[in-house]
Amino acid sequence: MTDHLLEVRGLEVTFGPGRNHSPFGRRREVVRAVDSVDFTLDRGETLALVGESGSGKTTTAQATLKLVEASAGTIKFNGSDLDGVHGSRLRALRKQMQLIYQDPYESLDPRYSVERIVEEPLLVHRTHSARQARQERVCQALEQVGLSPAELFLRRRPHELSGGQRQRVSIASALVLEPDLLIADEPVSMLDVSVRAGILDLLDQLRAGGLGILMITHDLSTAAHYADRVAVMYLGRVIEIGPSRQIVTDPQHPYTQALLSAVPQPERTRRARTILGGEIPNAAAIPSGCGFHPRCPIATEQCASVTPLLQPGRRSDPTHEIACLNLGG
Amino acid sequence: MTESVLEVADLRVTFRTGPRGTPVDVVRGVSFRLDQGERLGLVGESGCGKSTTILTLMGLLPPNAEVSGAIRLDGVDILQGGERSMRPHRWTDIAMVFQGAMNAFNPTRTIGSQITETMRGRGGASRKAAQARARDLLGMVGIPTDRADRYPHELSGGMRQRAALAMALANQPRVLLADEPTTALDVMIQAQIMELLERLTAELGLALVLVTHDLPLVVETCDRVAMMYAGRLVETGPAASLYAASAHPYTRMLFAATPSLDLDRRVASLPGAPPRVDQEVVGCAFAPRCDRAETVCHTQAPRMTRMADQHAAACHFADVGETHQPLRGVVH
Amino acid sequence: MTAPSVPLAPETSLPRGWSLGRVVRNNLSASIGCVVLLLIVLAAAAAPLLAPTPLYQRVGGGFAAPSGAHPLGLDDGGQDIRTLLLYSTRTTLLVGFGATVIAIGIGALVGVVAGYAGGRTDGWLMRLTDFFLVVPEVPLMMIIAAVWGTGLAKLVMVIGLILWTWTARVIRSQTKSLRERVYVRRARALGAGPGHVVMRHVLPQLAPLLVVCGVLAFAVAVFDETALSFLGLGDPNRPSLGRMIALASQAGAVSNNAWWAILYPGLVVTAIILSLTMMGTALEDALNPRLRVSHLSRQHFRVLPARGSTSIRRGASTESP
Repeated sequence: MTDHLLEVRGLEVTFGPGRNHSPFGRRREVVRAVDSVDFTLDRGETLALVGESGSGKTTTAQATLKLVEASAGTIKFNGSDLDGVHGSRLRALRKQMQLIYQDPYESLDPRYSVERIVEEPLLVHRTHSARQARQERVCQALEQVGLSPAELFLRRRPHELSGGQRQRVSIASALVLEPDLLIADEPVSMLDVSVRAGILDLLDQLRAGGLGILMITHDLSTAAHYADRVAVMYLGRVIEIGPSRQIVTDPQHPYTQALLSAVPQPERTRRARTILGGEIPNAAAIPSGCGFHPRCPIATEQCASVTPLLQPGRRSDPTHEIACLNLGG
Repeated sequence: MTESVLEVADLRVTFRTGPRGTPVDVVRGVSFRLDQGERLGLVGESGCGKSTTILTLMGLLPPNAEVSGAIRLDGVDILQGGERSMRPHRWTDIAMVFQGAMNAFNPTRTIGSQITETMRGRGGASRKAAQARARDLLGMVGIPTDRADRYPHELSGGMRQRAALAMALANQPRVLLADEPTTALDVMIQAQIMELLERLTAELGLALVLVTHDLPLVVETCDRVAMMYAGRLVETGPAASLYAASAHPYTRMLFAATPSLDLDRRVASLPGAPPRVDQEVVGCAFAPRCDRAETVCHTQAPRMTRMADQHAAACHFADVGETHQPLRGVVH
Repeated sequence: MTAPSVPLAPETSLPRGWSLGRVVRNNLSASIGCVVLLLIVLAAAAAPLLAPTPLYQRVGGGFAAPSGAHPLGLDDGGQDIRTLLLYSTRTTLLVGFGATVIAIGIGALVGVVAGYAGGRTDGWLMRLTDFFLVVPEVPLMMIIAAVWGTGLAKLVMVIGLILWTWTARVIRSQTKSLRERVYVRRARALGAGPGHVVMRHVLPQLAPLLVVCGVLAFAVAVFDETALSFLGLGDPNRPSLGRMIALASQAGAVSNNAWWAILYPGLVVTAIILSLTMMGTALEDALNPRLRVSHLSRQHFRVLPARGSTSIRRGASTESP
């Protein structure tokens, strides 16, 4: 049996005193950003982690890259366990997993040319010592992302490029080390709508070329179109995961259903919306049991005390799982 | 025929960038009408001038801006006198909710007191009356009354946006302008806020201009849509018609480029990128990216052509119906 | 002798095409300051060429009033004030410059390390900074003079040691904010070591800030030098502006009405400090976009006549009443 490219089991990430440097400032309480997450990703596949704010999707991606320390669980990349991997071994592994950032306007150092930005990973990992070799590799990457002819772009600075072009440069600099895994954190949410499809198509081409892509997004429509599988997250847990088409046509978890019905749909002008009341609870005060139970239309007593695990859904299809006490199995 | 509550005629806004700087034309002739209780969606991407357009309706422009055209509130042009004629209407007849309005609150004062202050300042209400009305307003936007005495940081983003809405409605405006009010919010909160806006426009008879880049959102919640590109309106019409029978290629291609939950509809990308604000435009601004562009498109700017009732598009090759008249009162 | 309070906001990103020269040229007070400073520096540098009389040479009676031969008068020892001014300015500028280099060097090092490393390193370095922040230079110099004697090098060192703390604070704060910039995080995520990240991404962004700190520190250093020399803690073997004033007042310039012996050195010190401050402030303003307050302007947007409209109204250029 071949290894999955990425295998995450029982991942937990907590922020707070004595743990990860909290982005929330000095908090005395412990914030469980990711609470037992499982998923796998293979080469040539795109998995989308979908969720609203506080769902833990970004933290999950950061933990995968070991940018934050996992408090529990295992992360296996290309078969090797990432636990306890530090220093030069981690650096070597980092070559094969790259991150694309959300903000194309901030993710490129404004003082450097495109060439220097894209070649930086090569310098950091000292893969090509000759300037010429580096430049060739840079040009290859630029062509790969559609910035052609590459020579024209080498001297440009970020402020001379459009948002879409900048994001392509960002992707090029991720590709230059020939990684196996690409994590795209909201790759198009800061781009104009007319430009988004181009970037997403590019990512899809890369996937077809053999890369595994983990896409973080809040936009279900994007996830559905460009990902093979979708994992819906809420308050640090995956509450539904399955093939994208099924998630969209047959959402089973009440949260997924509410999420889908909240997406604006021009086809249905005055539709029956399931507008959930309330808001996402503060991450420091996650409700007991199933985190969704205070807002859930089908919650029962046990939902407040028992945390549901991912299980095959309605049709007992092992590829489509949901975490609900009342609907699982 | 009832007069429109708001009428904008050939609005043009240019920014002077410094004494030696070239003038930048951000809004190049925008005209539209808005009736009481009507929701108009102004849709465009970055650099199209939509935010500048509605900022102009409020008169909130920096000193280096030059404006021409007319803004008629109940038939009276309030733009001609500049700041002096616009100021009396700001926040009393026309109010605005901004993008990131949730961050527009003074962090050292409670929400309730800031809303009260708005009413006493411009509306001249007494303190007791203002406080009572503040609670009413908060209730109207769905904020529990006990939150009136909270500080902004104690409320979530969605709550603060509702509070910003309450503040905008404090002096009972006739026209509400909303600049990307839900862009930074989660999709479910967005749905809640949009439903709130729909309810309020119906109950209060507000005229709403919703500025956004989100086409499906606008088609779902607005009565009419105006598509903006490079400082001009390229298509206007009822939301349903715009979706079912887009006349302008930009509208059509933008819909095609927006992924929906209908997975059988393929998403098609557009080449190129929206023109930058400082770019020179010759002919039709969309021609470089248009799949139907011909020679005339690159040389001659198209005029707004009325195709069906209320539906118009600025394109040499817009699908033409029976009538073929330029929209009244518009000069391009 | 406190450092000027410089409330530099952490988010100082350079506008496109920014350059020191352009900022100074565009700002009138900064241009004036720059020109004045350059003149003073050039004059001091060319002191041996410009001095009308050799240094330490007595050319007339003590406290002789300004005359045709000696337009600035003579000091108590009969030396031409012009000569003294040129050489003293040299010393003062040298000390100021030396101390600034030390201050910026230490300040930048401490600031970057503290800001980038964070955690306990940051804590310890900040305690160190706080310590040096409160040490007063006059007593410190007195102690050093008492134990090791006076001298130019010691003067430079003491002033530099007092001065670096404020730079360190400002640089630390900016480094902390730069560390979280997306492109810096990206470099870190790539696996780049702190050296690479700092050299390639942090330091270039810090450079303009360092220049501002340098200019303003120079002003304070000059002031400190003047004060310490005035108190007799400077180098007794070299003329300096502070020493000129001290010697003149000790020798009874006031009672003798010999205002020229005190006024001219005072003016030069003032001119130097003022020029540097004007330049430094202009640069700081350029770096800090939040200081722009166009929305508070009394001017409003202009309304032009509508194009091709039927109403014939003159466009009104309105200003608030």
